[in-house]
Amino acid sequence: MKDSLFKFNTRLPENVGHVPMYRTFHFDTASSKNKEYADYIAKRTEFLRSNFKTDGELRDLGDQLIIRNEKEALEIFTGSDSFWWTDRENAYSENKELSRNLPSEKEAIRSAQKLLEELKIDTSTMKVHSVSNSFTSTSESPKDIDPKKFPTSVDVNFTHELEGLPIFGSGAKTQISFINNDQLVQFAHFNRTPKQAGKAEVISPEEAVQQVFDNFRFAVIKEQGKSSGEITDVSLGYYATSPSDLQRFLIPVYKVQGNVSTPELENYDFNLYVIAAKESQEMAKRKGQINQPLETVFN
Amino acid sequence: MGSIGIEWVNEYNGNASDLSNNDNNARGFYNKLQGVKQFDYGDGLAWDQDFEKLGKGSPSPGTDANYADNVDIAFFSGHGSKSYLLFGINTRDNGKARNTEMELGDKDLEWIVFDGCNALDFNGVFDRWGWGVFKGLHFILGFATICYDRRDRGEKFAKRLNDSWTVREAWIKACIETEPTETKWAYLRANEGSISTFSDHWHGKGSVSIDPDNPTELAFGSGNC
Repeated sequence: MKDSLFKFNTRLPENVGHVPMYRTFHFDTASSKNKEYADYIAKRTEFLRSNFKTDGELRDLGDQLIIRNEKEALEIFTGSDSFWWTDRENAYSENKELSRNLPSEKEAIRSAQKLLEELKIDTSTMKVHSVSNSFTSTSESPKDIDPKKFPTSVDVNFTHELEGLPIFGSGAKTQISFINNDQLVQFAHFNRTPKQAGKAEVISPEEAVQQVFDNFRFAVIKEQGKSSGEITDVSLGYYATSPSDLQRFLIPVYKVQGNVSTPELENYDFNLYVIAAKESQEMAKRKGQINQPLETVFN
Repeated sequence: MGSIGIEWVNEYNGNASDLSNNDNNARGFYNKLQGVKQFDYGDGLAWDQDFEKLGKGSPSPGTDANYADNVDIAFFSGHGSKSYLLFGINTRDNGKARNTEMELGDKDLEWIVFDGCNALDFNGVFDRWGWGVFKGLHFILGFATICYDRRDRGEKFAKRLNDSWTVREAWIKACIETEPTETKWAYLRANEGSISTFSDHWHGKGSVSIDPDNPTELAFGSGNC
């Protein structure tokens, strides 16, 4: 594929023609007058509350129900099937002493899987993406030229996928964090329960890349002719928005990764999503698949 | 009650690729946070000199005393790099608000958000954004990696500040809510002797430390979103 700005340095994925569509909100409305929905939220809240045993008043913030005290917080998202429990004293900590007794990667994964099982979370769409650390560092003088990093938690990061296609975006991930061997300090589960509902015809990967080439973001730097870029990866998957958003269907997208260098900003990476469904947004609205207009190329 | 200022850039006029959500991102923050709305400049009215100190760096027409350093919290949404924030106008200074041109907090500023890529990459961060920049400033909140051009992070951050989360928690949580796992949230903050900014809240929502005018310690935190 040729373009005046971008070199194409990757292989395109297979042109699959169609992908399954997945419904991710299973009620007509999120109105509290909808008894079925209200019951679902009440049961989920009770279940999570009894498991995490977080003390405090349950407050309704609209897109979240929250119980928070000085030591911990339990957030239950009402537009998706997501929740987030946080040990406010020990998560994202700056306590360097914590680095002395952190679990190994294997131990952390084992503890995370045990917790997922205890909370009856369907893990069939989840896989371990990485095990990382939150960390802290301090400097006490400009002369500290090589300050040390201290890990303060071990974070097991899961991504979600459906029949081999990854779900991109912030709304499909699980992060479970530990200190002191197996002491839980954070459990963020951002998820929407998918149910297959038909199929969608998708554009080819070539068309998706062409949309990136033609996107307004690059129009001026192309015209000026002083910049260069490359496309480094193209993959097909679905997009899930923030856990607080009500999203009726996962959006089939191509994720296009690349980088650009301009005279004023050298070698910066970008990720763009291109809506893969061929169908018009008008039709998607009629079918109840989207609840707001979408840019065809978005970030 | 605190004062708020935002600057954002979508139109880069060739300095870099254009972006699309920085207006909504910054204005979501501006409109949601409970406080006095002091300035909102975008695109052609967002200037690097508004973040720079008069007489510092070259060129040196810094006007931070009227803008970024004249509010309690400032929010920049646009392209970033390890050592500068990038703007779309080069005729007001040079389009780059460099670390070497900033001294923040000597007038008013407590917290500043760099909602853009890479500024808080750990390697050399104390040297780049720390000792020379913190002159009363409490926190820089940003990213250690690339981040996405999201339209809702500012609003989510503001909602949590309004709801009495600490500034640190509110930023980390707004990042985790809006970014995929690969992105790394980050912050840099200052202490001075027994003055600790760790538990700062937005004004009127909990404790706020005294300004660390002459920091004796800088602390950095980061993790995957």
